[in-house]
Amino acid sequence: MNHTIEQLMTAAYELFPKGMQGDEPGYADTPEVKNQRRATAKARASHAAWRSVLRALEETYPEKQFPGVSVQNLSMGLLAEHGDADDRCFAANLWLPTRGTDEHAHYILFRVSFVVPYFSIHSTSLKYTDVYFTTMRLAPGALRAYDSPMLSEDELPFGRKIDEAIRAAFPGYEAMSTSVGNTIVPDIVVGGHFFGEATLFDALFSVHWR
Amino acid sequence: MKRHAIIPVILSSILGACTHTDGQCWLRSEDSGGSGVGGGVVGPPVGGFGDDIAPTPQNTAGGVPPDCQSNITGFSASLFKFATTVADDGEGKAGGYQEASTTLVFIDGRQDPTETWTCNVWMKMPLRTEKLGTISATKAAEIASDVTTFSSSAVMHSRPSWQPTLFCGKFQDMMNEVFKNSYPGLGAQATAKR
Repeated sequence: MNHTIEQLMTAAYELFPKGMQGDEPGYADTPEVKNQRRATAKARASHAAWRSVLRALEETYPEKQFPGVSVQNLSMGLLAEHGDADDRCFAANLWLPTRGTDEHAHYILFRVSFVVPYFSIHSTSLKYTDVYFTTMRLAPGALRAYDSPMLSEDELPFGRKIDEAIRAAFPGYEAMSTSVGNTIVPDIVVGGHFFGEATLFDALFSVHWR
Repeated sequence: MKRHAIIPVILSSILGACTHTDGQCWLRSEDSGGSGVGGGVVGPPVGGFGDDIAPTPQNTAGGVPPDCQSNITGFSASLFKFATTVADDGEGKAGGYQEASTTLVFIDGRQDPTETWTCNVWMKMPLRTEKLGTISATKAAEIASDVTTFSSSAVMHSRPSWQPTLFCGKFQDMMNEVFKNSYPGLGAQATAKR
């Protein structure tokens, strides 16, 4: 990686004021929160690069040749002019065909930070629980998510294409490893992640898309 | 014996002082002897935070407890007035974006004295999705109602008492877990702040 953990921590501290929670007076006017807003405005303006990643994947996986494979843009809200600075990344899912009757959904989540030159890729499998088989309804508790930063053999070809598309649209970007991304950033609160819980992934990517 | 209840209630953003009690209700007597974290009412796991403690909201239909309002059924969909923030250009498999914000009031009657606090909640979701089709404002509000109702219950019962700011943050985490696990393909996100 091109940056040390200390440098990434510094980047996080430039976005979240140390020792403050979001409901404290003056929080919204801190230089750090203003930096978040500036980053979001900049990302909004450079949305084209993100769209090119999605388009490249859509062209790589046409529906007729790859049934069950599709791209879901999770960052449409960034286009809202008044949008709050909730995320520090673009995010999308590449949906994949399900594998077996116990799997309801299967996708690869990929996120591209717009505050540091890094991206992350991991897979999620949503499997039915006993609650589903008892109720036969997709109520809360009927599915359980299994997330993995290590792509399985069947996911790897898709992961490579995602990696290629991101690097083509965002030159100089590289993957942030899970061990680095999960490093705790002390003294800051990010969303529902309080002091001692917030990670580099939370601060430099998102607490919504995980 | 006094019976204690947790009643999430709704603060009308228009009338300010007007409160409704169309929330959920749990009794303290039903919130004991559980996992040791205040959650005796244990339901299905949602994944992630609260895996072993997510409760099933009490069904009051078969006999409303004395301390509960008769109309307590969960957060009403009418609280979530979705407005379009990004128009759907009609292109591709998904498009557009809509948002709603509201203020939810929580009353934790398990504690003496009773604790009351609010969380400001923002719900955001697309107007059109590939997996779930068109998400009308009405449908979005119904989803928001379900997610807030379930998540508030799950988080409330995960601890015997709450510091309000912490509650709102964990409420946000739970809502996003529920979106991920129960509405795959929707691409919704929730934010909750004091």
